[in-house]
Amino acid sequence: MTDWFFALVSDWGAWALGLVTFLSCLAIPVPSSLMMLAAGAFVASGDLELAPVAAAALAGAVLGDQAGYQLGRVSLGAAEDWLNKSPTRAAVLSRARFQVDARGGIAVFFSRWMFSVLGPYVNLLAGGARLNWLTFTIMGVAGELVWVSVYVGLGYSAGGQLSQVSDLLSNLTGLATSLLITVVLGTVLMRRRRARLAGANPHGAQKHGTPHHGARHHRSEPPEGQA
Amino acid sequence: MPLHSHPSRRFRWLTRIGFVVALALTLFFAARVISDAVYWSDPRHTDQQIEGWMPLGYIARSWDVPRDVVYEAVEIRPDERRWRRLERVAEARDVPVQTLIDRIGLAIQTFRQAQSPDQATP
Repeated sequence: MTDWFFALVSDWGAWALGLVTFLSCLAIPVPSSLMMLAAGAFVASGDLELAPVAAAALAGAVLGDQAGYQLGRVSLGAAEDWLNKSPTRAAVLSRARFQVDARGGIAVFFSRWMFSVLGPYVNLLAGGARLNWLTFTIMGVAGELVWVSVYVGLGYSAGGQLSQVSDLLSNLTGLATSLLITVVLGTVLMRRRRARLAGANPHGAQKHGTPHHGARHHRSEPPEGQA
Repeated sequence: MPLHSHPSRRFRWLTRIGFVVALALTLFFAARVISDAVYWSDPRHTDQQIEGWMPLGYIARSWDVPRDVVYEAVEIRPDERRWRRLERVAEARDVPVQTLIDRIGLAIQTFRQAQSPDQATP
C-alpha cells in the first residue's frame, strides 16, 4: 500500500503532492506526510525538482486550510441561531470564541505539523469560532511551511532508505501523540490529587505524609468531586 | 473496581486507565524507535530491495552507485526520459519488472566488484 503511494509520487510528481496535501487538510485520510517524504527522497536522487514539489505541497495545504476554515464558518454560522436560543449554549459559544481568540493562532500553528492529526478539525473550529482570518492565514501558512520543510527535508536526507525512514516517522508520530495524551491525562490526575490533598481529606493528607492535619483549615477552594 | 458507583469516580477510573494505556503506548513506540535505529545503524541493513515503484535515480541512490550504472543496466537512451520509475520503464520495454531488477542487480554487483573486489555483495 505504501509502495503504491510512492509510485503515485513518482508518476505524478508535484500534482500528486498538491492534491494530497489539499485533501489531508479536509480530514480525508490520505498519507500526505508519507508522500512528501517520498517526494523529498526523489528530489535528492534527481528524479524530481525541488521547487515545483515544495510549491505544490504548500499551495495544496494552504488552500485546504482555507477551505476547511470556510466550511467551519458556514456550517457553524447555520447552527448559531440554535445555539444562541439557550443562554447556557450561548455562554459556551462565547467562551469558546474567547478561548479561540486568545490561543487560536498558536493552536493553528502547532496543529499544522507537530500534531498534524488535529489539523483539519482545528480548521473547522477556527472557522466556526470565527478566529480572525488574518491570524488564521498567517499562522496557518507559517505552520504549513514548517510541515512541508520538515517532511520534504526528511525525505531528502533519507536518501535511499525511504521505507525505513517512513517506518521511523510513523513510530515517532505515534510516540509524540501517545506522549501528549500521557502528559495531559497525567496532569489531570495530578491536579485532582493535589486538589484532594488540599481539600478536606485528612486520610489523603496522612497517606501522603503531610504532617499537620490543620491543612484543611487553610484551604480556600471547595473539595473537588466529593459532592 | 468501583466503576459503577459514582460518575466522577467512574471518570477518575477512566482517566487512570487511559493514562496507563497511553503510557504503555508511549513506551511501545519509544522501544520501536530505538530498536529500528539500532537495526539501521548496521550498514548491512541499509540496502533496499529493488521494487517497481522506485525511480531509477532513487535505485542508484539507495544502492550507492552512480546513476549511469542503473541507466545503462536498463538501456536508457540519452534522449529518453530518465526520471521514470522502474515499472514504467518495464512497460515501455515490454518486459517483466523482475527482468529489469535482475539486470540492475547484476550491474550493481559488477560495479561494486570493480570498485573493491573483496566487498562485493549480491
